[in-house]
Amino acid sequence: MNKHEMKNQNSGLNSLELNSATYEAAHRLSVSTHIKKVKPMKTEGYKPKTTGLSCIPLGKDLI
Amino acid sequence: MEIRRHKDIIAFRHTDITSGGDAVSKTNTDIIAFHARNLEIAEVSREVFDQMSLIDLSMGAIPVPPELNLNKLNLKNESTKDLAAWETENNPEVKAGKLGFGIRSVNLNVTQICNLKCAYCAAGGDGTYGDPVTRLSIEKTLPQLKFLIEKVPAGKRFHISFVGGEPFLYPEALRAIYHYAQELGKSVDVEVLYTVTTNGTLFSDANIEMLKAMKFNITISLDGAAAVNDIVRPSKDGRSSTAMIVSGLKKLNTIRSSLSSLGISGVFSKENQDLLSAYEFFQSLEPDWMEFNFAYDENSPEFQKKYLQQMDQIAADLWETGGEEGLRKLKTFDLYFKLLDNQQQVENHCGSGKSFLMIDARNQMFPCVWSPNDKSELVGKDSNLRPELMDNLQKPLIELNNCQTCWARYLCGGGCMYVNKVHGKNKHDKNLLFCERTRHLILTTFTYYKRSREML
Repeated sequence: MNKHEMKNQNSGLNSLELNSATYEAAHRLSVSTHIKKVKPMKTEGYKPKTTGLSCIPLGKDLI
Repeated sequence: MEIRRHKDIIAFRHTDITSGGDAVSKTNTDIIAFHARNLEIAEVSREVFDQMSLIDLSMGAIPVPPELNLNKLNLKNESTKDLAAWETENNPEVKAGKLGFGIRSVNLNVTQICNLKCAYCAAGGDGTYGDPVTRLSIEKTLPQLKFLIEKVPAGKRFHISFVGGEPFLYPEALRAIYHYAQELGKSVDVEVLYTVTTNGTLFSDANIEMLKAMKFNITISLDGAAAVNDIVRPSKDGRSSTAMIVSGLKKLNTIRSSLSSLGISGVFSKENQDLLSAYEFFQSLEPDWMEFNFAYDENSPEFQKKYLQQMDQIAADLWETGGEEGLRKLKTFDLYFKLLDNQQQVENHCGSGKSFLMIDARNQMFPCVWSPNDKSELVGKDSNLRPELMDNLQKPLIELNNCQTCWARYLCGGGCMYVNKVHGKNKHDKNLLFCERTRHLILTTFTYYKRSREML
């Protein structure tokens, strides 16, 4: 889900409240001692190898 | 394995996923969590874990724990607030997996005949799909490819996968189609990629010479060493199919740098249960990647348990000997690593009905590799493609197959419609054994993903 769809997940909140709530959540998580996120390794320009029968999951950018 | 869930977050303790011989791994009690929408992996505390509801791999629905009521919980508890914050957070980096209609990948059936007679052959048991066609018509296929490739937006890619029967029974077609598609692709700024799925028995000197000039991905179908492979994949002339493959691979290795990749794909079932021996044999052939397919028509929970135990052992061995690069030789894990790293949601397990077509040797078009000769699945012929016949497949597969509450949905993409059809009422009737198997392999991936990445 991208940021433009976030409002659908927080019914009743206006844009300002939503951004504030999101900021608070992000800040809480950045200092949390209970939840430590793993850093993904983005691969700019990565083109996955295509293999075998084409019964592979196809995300928008994986073709 | 203890697994818990809170809405779109699952967490598990992974002490059981080891090779069995590593004392350090056995005592590792990290709790790994996954956010299903955001495709995020995290390490969570015991306090967070204990607040979540116990589930098992068969459960796709979100549990409703009566005790997890925010009005009753002590909201001053930091772990509670952190869990709630993470669950409601939306990751702006996540890419949606929306896939509209636009053909970007075709399987082209070069021949509907084969020199082997594999017991579980997707093409009707003998390569023919029930209707032997010795070779496709190049004259009809080129305009069909032109019709499809010219619709691909400039700058994008198109994938041609040659299948059969056995494609190397008609190498002239591979050559002609390759050269045509290369020229056409350049003229419309579309990069064309090629794969050939072969039984590996026909790597003659002439075919090797032809392959030198083409940047192909080669997939060899092989189910184990000779003692197994010669039985499940016998040749029609009585010779050892495995010996022919090994001999051919020696020649193929002389032009290895000319290939895009070389992989081995095996099929396993109650009739062929020994993944570990097959793995050992595959490793001796030094492929770029490997695949251990659970046979589409297999539905035994007992065999699945053995299959998953062996997959975990293979993963552990690949990790111990080669780290992430070793592990990612297994196509399954490589794909999930890519999706997690790129935070790319997948809404469709395959491109059936949207981005993918199967073209048989009569240039008839179908939405699935298993469809040829099923007239009810026909969606076009030659350059006459009828998208309206695929209207019923335009919604995301996770929606069509009712996967909206499954925590694995954005990595799985809704599962295989053919497996559903074989084992259930119809192609949208989810096969729960497939679901459990997929979830298990995804959890295995999470374990190694966490070990291989830094923390934020």
